[in-house]
Amino acid sequence: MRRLLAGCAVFIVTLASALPHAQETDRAKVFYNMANSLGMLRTVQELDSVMTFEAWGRGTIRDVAANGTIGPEAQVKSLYAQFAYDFPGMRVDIVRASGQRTIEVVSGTHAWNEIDKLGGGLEPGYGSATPAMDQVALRLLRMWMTPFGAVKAARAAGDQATVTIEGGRTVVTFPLVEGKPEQTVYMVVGELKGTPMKVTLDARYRPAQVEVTFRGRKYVNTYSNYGDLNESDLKADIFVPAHIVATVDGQDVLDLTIDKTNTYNPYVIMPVPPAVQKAGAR
Amino acid sequence: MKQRFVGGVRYAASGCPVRMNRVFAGIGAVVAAFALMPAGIAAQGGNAAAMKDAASRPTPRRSNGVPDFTGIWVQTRSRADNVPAALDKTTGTYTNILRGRTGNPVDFERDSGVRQRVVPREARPWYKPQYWERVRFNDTHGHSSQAPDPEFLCMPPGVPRLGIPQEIVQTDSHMVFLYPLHTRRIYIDGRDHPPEEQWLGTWLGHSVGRWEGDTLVVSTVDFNGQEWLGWPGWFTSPDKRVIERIRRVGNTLTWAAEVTDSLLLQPWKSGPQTRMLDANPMPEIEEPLPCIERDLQHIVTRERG
Repeated sequence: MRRLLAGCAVFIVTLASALPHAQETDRAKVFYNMANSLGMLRTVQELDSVMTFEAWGRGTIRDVAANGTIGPEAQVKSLYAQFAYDFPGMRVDIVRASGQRTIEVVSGTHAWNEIDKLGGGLEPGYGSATPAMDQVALRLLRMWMTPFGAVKAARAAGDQATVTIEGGRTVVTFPLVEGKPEQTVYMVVGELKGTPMKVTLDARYRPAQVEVTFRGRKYVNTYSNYGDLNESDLKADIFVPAHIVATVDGQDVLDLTIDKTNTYNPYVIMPVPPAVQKAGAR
Repeated sequence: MKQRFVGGVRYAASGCPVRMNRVFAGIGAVVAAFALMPAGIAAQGGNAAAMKDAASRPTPRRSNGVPDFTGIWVQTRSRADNVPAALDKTTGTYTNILRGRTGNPVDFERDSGVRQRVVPREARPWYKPQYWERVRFNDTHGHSSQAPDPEFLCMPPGVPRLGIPQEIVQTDSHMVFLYPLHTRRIYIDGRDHPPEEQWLGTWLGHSVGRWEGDTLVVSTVDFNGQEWLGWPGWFTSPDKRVIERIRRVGNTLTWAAEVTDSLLLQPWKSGPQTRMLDANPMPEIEEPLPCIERDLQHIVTRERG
C-alpha cells in the first residue's frame, strides 16, 4: 500500500511538473511576469532596468536577398551585438569563417553599414558608414523581436495587447506602436507601425517564439536555453537565450549560440554618422 | 539628493560611491547598511511645497547688487527620506535595509549595479568611437586595480562630479565652494584663467566666474585628466573645460554644468540640481568621515552597485 501511495505521489508530482505553468491571461500580470522573468524589473520600485546590453556568439547564417532568395549557409565565426533600447538602436558585427566582416547598424530612423571598424566614420580613422536606409524597418523589426524588445513592445502596446492560451501556452499578440521617450525604451517603429507581433511564452513567461509577418514575409525567432550569460564574476540576474533560431518563410536564416553577455547596461551609444544623416534627410 | 552608507561606502549626491574608512567592513556592515533608493528617484522626491515657498522669498543681494549665494544649501527631500534601516524592537531585526527586490544582499548589489547604469541617452556622455571600449572597460573594472574609479581610491571627484556646493561663502572678489572633504575657490574679480603653459593639471581645476544677470557663470580649466565624470567609467582628459551656471532665486540655488572635452563628440550636460537654503538660523555641518581605501585588494568580483 505504501509503495502504491508513494508511486501515486511520484506520478502526481511528475505530472504536475510536466504541465505548462503559464496559464495566466490577465494582461497586467502577464506583462509583469514577462518582464520579471527576464530580470528586467529591478529595485523595490520594479522599474524596467534593461536599457543596453552586449552579446557575443557564433553559429550559422544565410543571407536573404531583397527578392526573398535565401543564400547558402555560412559559418559565423564570431558575432558581437550591441543593443541600446533608448536610442533605439542595434549594432551587429559578424565575422564569417571566410573572414568577411559585416557591421549592420540601426539607430532610430537611420540605418547604415559600418566598414572596417565600429564607429561609422564619426572620427577620422574609425571606419566609414554606408547608408542603408532601406534596411531601417527590417533592422528595427529584428531589434523589437529580441526577448527584451518584445517585452518592451508588448508593454508599450498596453491595452491593444491581447492575451490568449494556445496549446497550453500563453500567447501575447499586439501591434507595434510608436512610443514616447522613456528612460529605458523609446519605441520607434517607422514602417512597422501597426504590424502585429505574436509572442509565445514558455512556462516561465519568457518569450519562446516571436512571430511577425511584414511585407508579405513571415519572420519567426525561437528562443531557448535562457540563462544569465554574463561572466561568472559579473552576474546580473538578467536572462538571455543561449540559443536563437530565426526563420524567414519557414527557412532557417540564423542559428546562433550566445556564449556571453554583458547585461549591466554597458556603455553603448548609436550616434548617426553625418553621411547617414544626409541620406536620411533626402 | 541624499547620502547613504552601505558597507562602509558613502554614496555621494550623484549616486556615485565614495569609499570610506572601512570601520564597518564585513558582514556587520551589510546588516548595518542603510536604506538605498536609486539616486535619481530619490532626487525626485523633493518637498515641493517647501521648495515653492523658498523660491518665493526675496533674493538677498550684496552691496554691489549681485545675488548673495552665501549659505548652506541643503537637499530638498524631507528628512524622513534619510532615515536609515530601522530597528524593530519587538523582533530585534532591522527593517527597510537592502532595498533590492528582496532583502538578499546579492539582489541588493545587483539591482543597484544594474539600476545605477540606467542613464538615458541624453545624459550619457557621447564619447568618440575610439574611446567606447575604454569606457566599458573602466565600467566593468571600476573597483579593481585595472581601472579604478578615482573616487574609489579616495581621490577628489573633480568638476562637475562634485555637483552643487554644500556651502558657499561669497566676497566681492571670490567665492569659496565647500563640499564634504573638498574646497574650490572661484575668482569673480574679473581675472582670466592663467595662460595654458602655466597650467598645473589639477583635480578641481582653476575657476573664474562672471555674472550674466543674476546667474553666475563659472569657467573651470586646468584639469589633470584623472577625474571621471561619473561612476560608469566616464573618464576625462586634461582638455576638459567646464561651464557651471548657478542661479539663486529666493532661497533656492540651482546648478547645472556643461563639459567639453576632446574625448567627446558633443558637450555633456550635468544637472540641473536645486537646493534650498538651510532654514535653521544656526546651521551646522557635520564633519565628514575621512576617506581611506582599504578594499581594493580584497575585491574578488566585478559586480558593483
